[in-house]
Amino acid sequence: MRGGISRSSAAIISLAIALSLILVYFAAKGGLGGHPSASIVGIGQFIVNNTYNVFNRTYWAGSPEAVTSIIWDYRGFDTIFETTVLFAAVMAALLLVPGGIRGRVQGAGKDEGLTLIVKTASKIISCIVVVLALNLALRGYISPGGGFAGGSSYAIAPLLLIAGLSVFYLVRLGYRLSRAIGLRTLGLVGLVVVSSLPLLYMGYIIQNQAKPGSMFPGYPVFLGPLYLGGSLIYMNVFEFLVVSMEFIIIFIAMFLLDRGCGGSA
Amino acid sequence: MIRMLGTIIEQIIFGIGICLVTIGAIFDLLAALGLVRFPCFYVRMHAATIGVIGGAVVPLIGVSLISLVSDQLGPYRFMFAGISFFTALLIMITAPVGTHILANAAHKLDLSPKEPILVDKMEEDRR
Repeated sequence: MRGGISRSSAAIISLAIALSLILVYFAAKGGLGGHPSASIVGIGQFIVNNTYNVFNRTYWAGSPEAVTSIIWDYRGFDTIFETTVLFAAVMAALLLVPGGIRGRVQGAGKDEGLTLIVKTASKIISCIVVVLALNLALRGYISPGGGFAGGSSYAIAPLLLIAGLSVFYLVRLGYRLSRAIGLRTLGLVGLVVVSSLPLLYMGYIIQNQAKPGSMFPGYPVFLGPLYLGGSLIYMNVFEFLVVSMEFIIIFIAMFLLDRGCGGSA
Repeated sequence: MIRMLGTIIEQIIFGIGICLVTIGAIFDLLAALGLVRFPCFYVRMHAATIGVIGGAVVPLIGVSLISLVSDQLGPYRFMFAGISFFTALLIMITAPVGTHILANAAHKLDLSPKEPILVDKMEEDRR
């Protein structure tokens, strides 16, 4: 139907608006469950009071970013298991690639891609995305961000290059499956080392700062004029490596399979 | 004297910023009208791009100019100005490319009727 919205799409839009209004009504009436109890609010107050408490460093995390402190210090186990889940998912996906995961891409393939405008724009935007992702990962212990957010935004850059140019351009740029797997393993080893180093000093696992009841003195927060933020910066960097490389592995494997050269990848 | 000159320059920059924001609002209105009234897909996409470039990039540059001379923001005014300008730049790079991809795909797959048409160079190239 020309010159206006068709009847079915108008029906869908009005249905969506009605549904969201009904949901808002029930949420305002308390029909979707009550508010969290006061005992849970106390945990939030504890974390806000202690995250960067320079005067009383008994339970501090050494970072003004409360979210990163919760993710890598107060609730570190949760993030470790999240990384494990992602690791297992990527390994299971790689098992689907026929012919194994070793070796390298043989034929460079024809560079089809889209038009010249799209190619140029995706190159420019992917450079900007890389800078932004590094900023998110490396400053994750000062401002909002962190390893997971930085890694998943870094993975957008090769995805853009795949969409705009082709997966063979990415391979020629140096993104190899074997190289990505190696860097991923390096990140995992780094996570293991940083989280289990306090065990040598009779401390807890994933310990960041000195705590009562453990001999571990804590990772350095200040190194001369530099502000390091304890173990959070190492954790963020290694998590960035792990997450970005896992996404890149998935993208390369998926698009190489799509081109029918899974055996040689 | 120098302080007065600075105040005048600040006022001028503020006025330019307000003008740019107003121009953006007018562009948005025109784009909405064109999106409803234009006859076919390609011309409507032209109207949508007017809404993005004229209605988002131009007022964002205006906002960055306004925040540069807003003294009440303190040192954060440079942050606001930089973020606004960078966002405008990013939209200016990405939006035309997105429209270009959509129009290219629609033309290649012949998804939309090309009714009011004078010349079709892409069709000539394909032959």
